[in-house]
Amino acid sequence: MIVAENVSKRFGTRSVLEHLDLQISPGAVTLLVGANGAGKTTFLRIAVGLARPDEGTVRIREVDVSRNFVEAAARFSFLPQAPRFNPRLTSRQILAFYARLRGRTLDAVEEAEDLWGVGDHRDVTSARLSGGLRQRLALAVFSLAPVSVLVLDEPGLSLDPEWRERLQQYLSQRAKEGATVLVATHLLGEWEGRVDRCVVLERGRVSAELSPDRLRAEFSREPHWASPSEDVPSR
Amino acid sequence: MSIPAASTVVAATLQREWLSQRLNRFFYWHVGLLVICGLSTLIAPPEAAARGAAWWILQVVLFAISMSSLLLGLSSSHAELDEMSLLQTHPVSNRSWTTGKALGLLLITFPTALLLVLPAALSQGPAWLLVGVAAAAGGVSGVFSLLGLALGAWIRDPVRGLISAVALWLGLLVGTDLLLLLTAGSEFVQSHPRVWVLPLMLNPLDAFRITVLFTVEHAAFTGLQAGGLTEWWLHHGGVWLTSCLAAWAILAWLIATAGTARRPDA
Repeated sequence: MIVAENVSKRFGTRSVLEHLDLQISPGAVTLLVGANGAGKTTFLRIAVGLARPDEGTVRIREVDVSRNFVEAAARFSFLPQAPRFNPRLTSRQILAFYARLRGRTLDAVEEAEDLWGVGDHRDVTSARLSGGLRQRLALAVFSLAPVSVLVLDEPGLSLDPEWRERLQQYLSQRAKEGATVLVATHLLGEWEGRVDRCVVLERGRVSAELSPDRLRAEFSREPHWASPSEDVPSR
Repeated sequence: MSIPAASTVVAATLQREWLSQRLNRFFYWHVGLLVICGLSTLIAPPEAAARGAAWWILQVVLFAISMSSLLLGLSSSHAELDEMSLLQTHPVSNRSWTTGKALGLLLITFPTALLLVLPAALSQGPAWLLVGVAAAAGGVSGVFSLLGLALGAWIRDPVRGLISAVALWLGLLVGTDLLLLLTAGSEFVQSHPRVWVLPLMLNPLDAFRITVLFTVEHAAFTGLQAGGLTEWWLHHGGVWLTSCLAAWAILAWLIATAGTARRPDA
């Protein structure tokens, strides 16, 4: 479970999150949506310890992320937006490194390679991987962690439809097994029928919850937060 | 749920550093420079050769190896920047990560410094003098690679990082000496010579220079009988250089750890 209480964050004079309260339950895929600048990525970064809140706390399975980061980090796995790697390392070397940090064996590495289709590129340096392959490598790293809290920031942006579908199936399966899954995305139409809950963030606060089965209709109906902008893929 | 032991993180990071350096052009430049400079001791001009391989290696370390080591460390730090947002969400302490990187760099720079003296040792026969100079050169090289690591952890823009590295190198190579030259004649310095000597002792390049010239090579210098701090230094050059380099290495490691701990929004 992820629990955010009274979380605020400012960048200079601009307030990005304002006294945000949010609870993400286990056993469900929760979508976090909102316009650019709504605070989605900032919230996720605070939730996984990449940024500190000015006020409030985020707890992951009862552990305060800001106060006890290492212990909290052992409880979640995070997929950043457009992940990049040390350009001099091969896919296999990167996976082996993270597997060691997560206490996993080479078998787990091979399993992750098979799951995300990066096995054929194991000896290719990350600098030479395409955007989609890099994203799948990041997903392989992401899935190596033996944890039950999964946080993903725009996971489908570089993936083709087939791999997006596989990702959604993977996350649904993990949620069915009891994992807490939180996904921030612009591509909410694609998640229709695949999520259990959809939270709308507007100006740093939770402004609404959408029906998970009517995401496409809701997307086109809400001009404030859903109007496509330059970095929202055209639909 | 598992938190890896610090030793696991250090070992994994060390291995990662080595694998990463295998494709680092700065590493090959560094090794190439060591080989060329080592071989050049065999073809040095007669007057330089007469002063011995140690004198030649001193110049090479001051003007080339220190710089290439600094760039090696800087490039090592910058290679990881893109991945930090993924790495920093793993249950890994910044201290263990930086220790792994630092040990990886030291294990690369220290042994490779042997390449500087290998040709001379093979042609003239092994000598303790050369072993001492190689160890000192390895120490200087290691410290500068850690300074590069620290610089890269704080200055994340590659161009600014490069400019800062050159500025730091110039500052340590000639900055201290120029400052001391300018202040040498002042009344205060004349009456407090220790204050004047201390910056020289604390600068790793000057400490290396003085140690090789006066302790290893035993160059003639009236300061040997000067008394006070200068005399102590010159008679304990090896011990002082070792302590000075160890202190700089620890300082660089601390700065690198603090820099790594900074989150992107800090």
